[in-house]
Amino acid sequence: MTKLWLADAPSLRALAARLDDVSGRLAPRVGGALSPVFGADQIARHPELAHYAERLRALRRWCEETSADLRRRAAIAEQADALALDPVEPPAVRSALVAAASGAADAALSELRLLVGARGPGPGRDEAVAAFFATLAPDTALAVALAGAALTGPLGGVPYELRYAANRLLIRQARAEAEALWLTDRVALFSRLLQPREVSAMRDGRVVSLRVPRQFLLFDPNGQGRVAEVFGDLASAVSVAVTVPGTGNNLATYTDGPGANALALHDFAERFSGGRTATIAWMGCDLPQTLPQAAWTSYAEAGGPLLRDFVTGLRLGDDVRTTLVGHSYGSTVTGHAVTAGLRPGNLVAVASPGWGVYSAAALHAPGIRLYALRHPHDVIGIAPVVSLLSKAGLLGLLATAWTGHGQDPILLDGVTRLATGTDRDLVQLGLDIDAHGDYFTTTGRSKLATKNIAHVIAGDQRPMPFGVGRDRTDET
Amino acid sequence: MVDKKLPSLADGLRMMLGALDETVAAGLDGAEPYLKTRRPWQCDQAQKRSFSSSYDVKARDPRSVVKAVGAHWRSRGYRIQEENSGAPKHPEIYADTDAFELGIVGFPERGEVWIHGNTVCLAGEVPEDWRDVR
Repeated sequence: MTKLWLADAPSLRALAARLDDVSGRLAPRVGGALSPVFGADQIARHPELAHYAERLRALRRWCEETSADLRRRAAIAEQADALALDPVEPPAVRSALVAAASGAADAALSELRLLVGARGPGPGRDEAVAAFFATLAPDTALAVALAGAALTGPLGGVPYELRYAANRLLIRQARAEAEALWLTDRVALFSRLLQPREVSAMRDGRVVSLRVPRQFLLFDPNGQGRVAEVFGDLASAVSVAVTVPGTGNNLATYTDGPGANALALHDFAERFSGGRTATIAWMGCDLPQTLPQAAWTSYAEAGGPLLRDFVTGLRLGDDVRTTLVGHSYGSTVTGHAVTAGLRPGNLVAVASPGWGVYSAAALHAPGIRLYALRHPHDVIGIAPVVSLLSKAGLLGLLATAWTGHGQDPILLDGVTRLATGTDRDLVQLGLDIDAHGDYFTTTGRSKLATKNIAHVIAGDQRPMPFGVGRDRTDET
Repeated sequence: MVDKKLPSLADGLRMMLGALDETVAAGLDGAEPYLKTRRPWQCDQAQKRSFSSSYDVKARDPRSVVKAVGAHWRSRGYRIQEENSGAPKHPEIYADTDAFELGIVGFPERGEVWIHGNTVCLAGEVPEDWRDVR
């Protein structure tokens, strides 16, 4: 027998509107004291009516819930229609969207919601979620991921490809909402997130440049916005890097800032590793937007556990080489992720105000290889000094327990400082604001820092330490 | 690094691409790159942009190519930022000028070199043929 699914957006929205209408008509009859029929006075005088009032309340609740669900499905159906013109998205996604809009995935999605609701974030839940999806047929799994995109998009344990599809759907829906409200800046912002990027990959021993759908593991347009994008094949990668940007970044700066930086880094690491690297640009927590805010520890204290849960949720194999790269305040976030229990193979601080500790031992992570990069004249060099003065009680009322990020990583024992191209500058002190970004950004003079970090990520050979001569021919 | 008189973005890109082509001609006897890519490069200065371009080229002896390219760059007066041409795995050399940076990395295990160039942040209109680079 052929099933006929009602899944076109106008019909779903029309049905939702009809239910809203019914719910509105029921309201005065179940609303309590103001109700002309079933108010408290009437029910007190006629107790037999209470039975009907409760049924009407339940009916109204059902109307409201079903209406909301129909609108959710209509939004999915609209995207299925839009995808008919999309040359990049795989055809299976459109089929799955139609299935999701029709409600074909609802039972499995309810099961997933129960499973997630019963457990807190962590490896146990990630494993249960992965096991849940492993039991589903591929097309059903995709339909479930799309039907519950807001749940599955950021959820650890969900297969990467499903999260990518779910987050692209969330971006499309955010764009559609922005279009409806004539928010042209937001429409442009979300459109850019959907534009495919050229990404380097290795195929049969040769480098190829692929134009592929964007791969997001996280997308949330609310507030500053949150996003995590993958470059490369995460499922087959033997080296995985997660980059965390610094102060001033948000969804609006992502594409040309943290996203472009991670892509440039990936270009190098992908070649160094022979095509076995994935690089993730992670902006999954609120970041300070101003310099005074950047003095506060609160952003890193909140972001560190989020970063830990995100990386843990990837369920990378023990043999995968992992590297956390934090720039500026992002390095403070990575430090707090490590003190919260994350154990990457490598921790790289770039232009860091501190990992939130005054010694490497305080990270409580003896197995992690520690690296730091800082131009000698980078203005960030004064941040740890202020932090130390604060700790020593020399800042008077300005010293607070919730500001300062610890010692400069380049000064910590056990940390390898890497070359940034300015090792031989005659003046090794200064307050150059532009230099603070000159590892990934600002003036474009960032190739040496980029390639050194890429060597750490790929593990192909030792990166160039700070202060080593230019003509090094005795690589060990 | 102090900003000197910098070229426009269009001129900087032309200079960088010229340097890349010249590098291939000098170090690889003009061997044709099997892949040429263009990417945005890292820049967040207002009203400025930077781009990169790279060539992947097959080479019989990547180690000697890297050394030859290093010699060529010196002869052109480029500043050698870092030379690690003796690295057993991936020999590499990096150089720069006021307008762009260059790098070459050898991959003996797969018989090829990667030549990478990027402009520094430069002002000016993005040339027509770079507008779709994202």
